[in-house]
Amino acid sequence: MLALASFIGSAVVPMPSRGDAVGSVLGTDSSGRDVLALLLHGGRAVLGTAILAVFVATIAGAFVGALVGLSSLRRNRSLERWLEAVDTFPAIVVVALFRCIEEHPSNIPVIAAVAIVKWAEVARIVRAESLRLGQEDFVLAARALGASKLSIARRHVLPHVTAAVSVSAALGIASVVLLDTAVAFLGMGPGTDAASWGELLGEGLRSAAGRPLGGPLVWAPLGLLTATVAAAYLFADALRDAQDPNAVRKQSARAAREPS
Amino acid sequence: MLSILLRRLLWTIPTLGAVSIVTFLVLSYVPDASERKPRSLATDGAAVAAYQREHFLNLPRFVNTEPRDTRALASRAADRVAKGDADADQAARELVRLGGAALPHVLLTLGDRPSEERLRVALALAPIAARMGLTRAEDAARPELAVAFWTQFWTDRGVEFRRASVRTAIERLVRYRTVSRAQELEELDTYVVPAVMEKLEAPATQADVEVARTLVEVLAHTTERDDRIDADASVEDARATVARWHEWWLVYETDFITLDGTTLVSAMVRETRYGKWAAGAALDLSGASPRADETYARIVRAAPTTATLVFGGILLGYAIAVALGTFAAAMKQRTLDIGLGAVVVALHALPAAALALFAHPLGGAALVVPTLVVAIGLVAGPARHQKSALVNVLHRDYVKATRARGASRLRVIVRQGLRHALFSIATLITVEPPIALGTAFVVEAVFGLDGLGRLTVEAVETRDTSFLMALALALALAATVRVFIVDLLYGVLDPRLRGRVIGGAS
Repeated sequence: MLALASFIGSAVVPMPSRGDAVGSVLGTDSSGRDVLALLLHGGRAVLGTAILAVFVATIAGAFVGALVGLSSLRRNRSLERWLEAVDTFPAIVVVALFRCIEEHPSNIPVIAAVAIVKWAEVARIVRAESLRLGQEDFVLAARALGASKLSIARRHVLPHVTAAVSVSAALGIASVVLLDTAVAFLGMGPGTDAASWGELLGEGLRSAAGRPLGGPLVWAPLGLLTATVAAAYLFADALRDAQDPNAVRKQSARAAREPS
Repeated sequence: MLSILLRRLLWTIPTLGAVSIVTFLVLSYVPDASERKPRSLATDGAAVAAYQREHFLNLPRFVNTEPRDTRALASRAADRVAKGDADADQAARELVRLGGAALPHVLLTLGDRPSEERLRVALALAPIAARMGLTRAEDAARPELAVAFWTQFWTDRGVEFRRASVRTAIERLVRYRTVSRAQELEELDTYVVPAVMEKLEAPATQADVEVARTLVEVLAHTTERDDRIDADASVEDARATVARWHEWWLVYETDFITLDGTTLVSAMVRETRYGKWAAGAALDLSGASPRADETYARIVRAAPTTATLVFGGILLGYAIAVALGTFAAAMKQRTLDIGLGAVVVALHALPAAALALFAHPLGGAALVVPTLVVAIGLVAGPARHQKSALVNVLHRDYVKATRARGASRLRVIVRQGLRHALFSIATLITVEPPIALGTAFVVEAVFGLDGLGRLTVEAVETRDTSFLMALALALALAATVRVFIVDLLYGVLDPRLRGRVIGGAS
């Protein structure tokens, strides 16, 4: 499953950025632009957005989470409340807020919104993990040996939280792609000038309102979106299975049963 | 227990405060607001200044290190008049507008000025004397008498420029409502405005209207802002007028009060854009403002639709997910399991817009189909969760023991399945609504429902900051209430967690 996920992922990610020379295999959109080229550009845009947003959020969240989880603030309930409040704030409203203050439409609102909301989730995960790890013998031993908090965080905590954080990041990419589509569909995206799967899908769906399955303008972006999100989702799933001790035990038990 | 719950509820206050500050900071960068409108007002400097003033654009965002008050404004205007520069006329008008409130500051320093400057300032004050209706007010306009007039005035009447005496005068006016009592106040000019505004309340009965009318009359006379209550005005008309005066006061308060000590410190916070916004919101909430029913009513009207979509969608989605997850865990056939998993993931990955449009022909009048669309997008996560949790549990020793004692497989699955379902619902229900809200917005757009999503998109197009501000606050409030309910739910579900979780330990 991991291989499948990474195959789809890698097939999607390094798409050529220039698609102008490709023949009009999929036809053109309402303003006569080649759909395939638009799809390729849109893919780069949406994945770039998703990866940048999730990257920023993950780094910030992991930093804050480790800081809070290991410092004297770890028992601070109000901090947990603040993180919770940020985490439960709807990203789409943050997009609306940022969309409101920019002069020219761009995909910065989506990146900003995801970064702002998502870091709290990562921070909560990392904080919980650091709290748990702080009680473990090997961390206590390291502390007893005089290791500084920074080195404990780097040597002992971070390797353990990467698992949970990478799952959350993979899921985050899926949700950013969906959010980007929703935002573009609602007309709060970068506008029709930019290539975006969401815009294309919205345009296709609106023009094909009557027919159940419209032209390539509907199914091409739809298929790509679904494939990307499903890939990210399955990737997260596989990551989780690979890192879940219970699942590992099951797998090794199965491997022991059928040695092949 | 009760104190813990109360403490928890109190948490909403700082949370809302923080959300409002952050949202405000973001929205304060909305472009054009300061440039677009004034440009349409032509290049009239005074009009632009007034526009900026009324939208608080001349104020800093959060902390005002130098709040301006009557004293600062009056001495600046008086200095400009004294110098007799090109903008002296404008400064003189400013001085007249500040009126009686500025007199203590201007007249006290009058003697320190060189005689030439003294004369200019004294002459600039003449319209105030006329407005006050003083005897021999025309003397103030005559160059040879003006300075003597104001010196005499301050000697005779300076003692009346005191808060306490103004307050008793207003009490008398409210009680007797005679012309002479009103005259008494008008002779102090704008100096009485702060106290009158304090006294001015939204009228509830016809008797209140009379009081408000008398007070507004004094305000209108001293500030030369012609917004009065007619003799035969209804209670509603009077309320609207009073509300307009309160809004005016929100903008121009500092022109008529002197800041010192504690008021100076509080003004550093209040005389900011955020402070003005918060005061305006409080004014709206108190129902005194004519705009009150606009933004709030729109949100209140649209909220049920969106709430139905979000929470109905979550409940429905979880019901489906729990059933599917339990089913998948109970079935040992791997092909079925994988098939179900694939369908669930595909549905999750399908953008809500596409799903909604495919479902659109099914109709959406009763919110059933739209809710279902929201629900389908949410199935994947909890279904997986439910399945793996149940599979784990079914391998546990205590479950095997139960089975060994003769409980049927179905009974074990249903009991364990439901318990886990409730737990995962309690855990995830705080996480899901933000995601469901995004879906709900799209679904509303597709089905043409009159919900928060449509309003938000409209607000973004028109850059309606007050709506977005209110929306952010409403959502933050909903989130804190939700967290609170979930904590209660934990306590009900698991007696071991009672007190611990509610206390806030993670």
